[in-house]
Amino acid sequence: MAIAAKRARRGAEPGRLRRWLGPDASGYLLIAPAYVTYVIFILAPVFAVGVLSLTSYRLVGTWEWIGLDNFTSMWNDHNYISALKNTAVYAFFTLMPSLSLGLVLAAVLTRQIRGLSFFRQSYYLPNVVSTVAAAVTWLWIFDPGNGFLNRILGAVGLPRPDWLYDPNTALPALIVVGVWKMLGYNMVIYLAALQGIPREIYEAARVDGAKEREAFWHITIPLVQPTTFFLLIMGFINGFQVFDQIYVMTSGGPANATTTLVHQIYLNAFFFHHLGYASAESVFLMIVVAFVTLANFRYGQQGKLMEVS
Amino acid sequence: MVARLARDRTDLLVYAILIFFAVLMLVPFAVAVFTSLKPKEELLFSGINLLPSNPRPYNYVEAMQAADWGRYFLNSTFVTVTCVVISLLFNSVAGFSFARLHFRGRDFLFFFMLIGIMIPPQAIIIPQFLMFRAVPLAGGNDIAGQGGIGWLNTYWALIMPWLAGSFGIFLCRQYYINFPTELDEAARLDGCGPLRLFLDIYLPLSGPVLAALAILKTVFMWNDFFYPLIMTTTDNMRTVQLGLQVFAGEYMTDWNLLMAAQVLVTLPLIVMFFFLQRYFVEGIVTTGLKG
Repeated sequence: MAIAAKRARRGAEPGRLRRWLGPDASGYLLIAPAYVTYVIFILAPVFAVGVLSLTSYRLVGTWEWIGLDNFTSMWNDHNYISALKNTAVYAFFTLMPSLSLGLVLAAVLTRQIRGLSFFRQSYYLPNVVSTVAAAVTWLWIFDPGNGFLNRILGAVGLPRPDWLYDPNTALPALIVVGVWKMLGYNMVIYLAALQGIPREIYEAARVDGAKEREAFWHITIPLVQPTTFFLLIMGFINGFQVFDQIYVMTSGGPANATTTLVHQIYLNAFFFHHLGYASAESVFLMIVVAFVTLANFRYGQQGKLMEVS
Repeated sequence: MVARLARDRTDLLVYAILIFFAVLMLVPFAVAVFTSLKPKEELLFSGINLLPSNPRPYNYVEAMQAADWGRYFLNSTFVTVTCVVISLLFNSVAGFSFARLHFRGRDFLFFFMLIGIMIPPQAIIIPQFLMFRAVPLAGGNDIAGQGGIGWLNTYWALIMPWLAGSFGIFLCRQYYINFPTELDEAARLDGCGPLRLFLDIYLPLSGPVLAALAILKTVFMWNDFFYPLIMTTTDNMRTVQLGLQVFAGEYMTDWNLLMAAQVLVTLPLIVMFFFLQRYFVEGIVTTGLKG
């Protein structure tokens, strides 16, 4: 916009303008399609959601500026507090097993294994499936009466929980699905990181008498630490945005046992039409995610990627 | 001899672990596929009966006839293909410009655009919804964007926000920035302008980055649920994921039909995964990101 105005103003002297813009002024035109899309559909909504969060806006009727009231009422909203707790539990307990198992499986796969690609494919396959499709399948597996899981538990004489219909087991059941989906992704990234470690290091350790398990603790784990950091951040961000799975499998129930941050945004905005309040919840989510992403850029591999350039 | 035995034993353990987890990962697929082939009465058989005793492929026909699946697949395909093709073009040309061209404010504009990587899509859905609802003179709206539904329930709402992406631009820029400057200088001496430079020199070299981006975007678009959930309400605008969720609500006890629909919705990406596996893995490793 500013460029067009300047161009019009200085139209009489194209030479100077061109020099000021740099040798490849057509670069502006080449970035324009992507940039306009970005400004209209991402940047403007970011500002808009900030503005909306300061209002009592509902889809219909009058509204007014209410300052930070939405933010203060968030902390007195027991649904929101449950959501915060559930989201943190979901993110943490999805992340820990899928990270540690992912690393162990990747380490095992770096041995001379027959059928490497079969195993890699099997572990990664759940990550290709959409969350909705995965959720529908697990809904059936967790079915208390006829589901596959309770049939197995019944066959070996164990108790058959109600899974998604019981407030105590619903969230753990959702976490199982999360781990199932994330494990292969973490494994593949770890596998790539491990393939970057020179074999000589392990051979030197073996010569020094280190056992395989010691090598894993003292060589592998420290050397993949940047990857672990990256996966931790990514897993945390993904975990904090969990919604599809919740919506399809439990709708946040039973008794709010599985409601999450994004589920609360969805309900307040598109079910109760409290758009101002839901915007405040969105701003909070945005701040958490932005903070974590910045940490990744600052301390993680992508930060290094930027420095190299 | 003892060492050999010990080695064989650890090998056995290694394979046992690997196979155990492979089975855990694959069981849900087996449950879905086998259930999709069972007649309804078999769902209630007692005991562990994974395999259908009397396979009924007609479930697939029945499932597809039970809802407007042709329309859902058409919608998903159209939205996915459009967004993938256009975003590849927009992202790569922008990434190229940020990497290889010299214009004032280039780096500022680039870093300013990176903010987009940090924004969770769900956090800005409310203004996006209001914006599409208020598009003037569309969907029964007046010139001020009031009175109707604007671009909600249209392809515009499903496509427009995904035509470019900060992450894709970032990826392309990182790819293009590694080429030697001699490449540009030679082309420029031959009289190439920026656009020709991109189309004739860089685009033919872009295979790996475009393949990775195309796969990430295809998976993201095909699997996206939240966005169509908010932007559409009518049956004829549903994508496959939304269709599957609604179907799951309506056919809650017809697990065989539901699994048949699930398998068909998932199949395109599974097939793509097996054919383009190398690019999948390379893609997620080099990007280390999804979507």
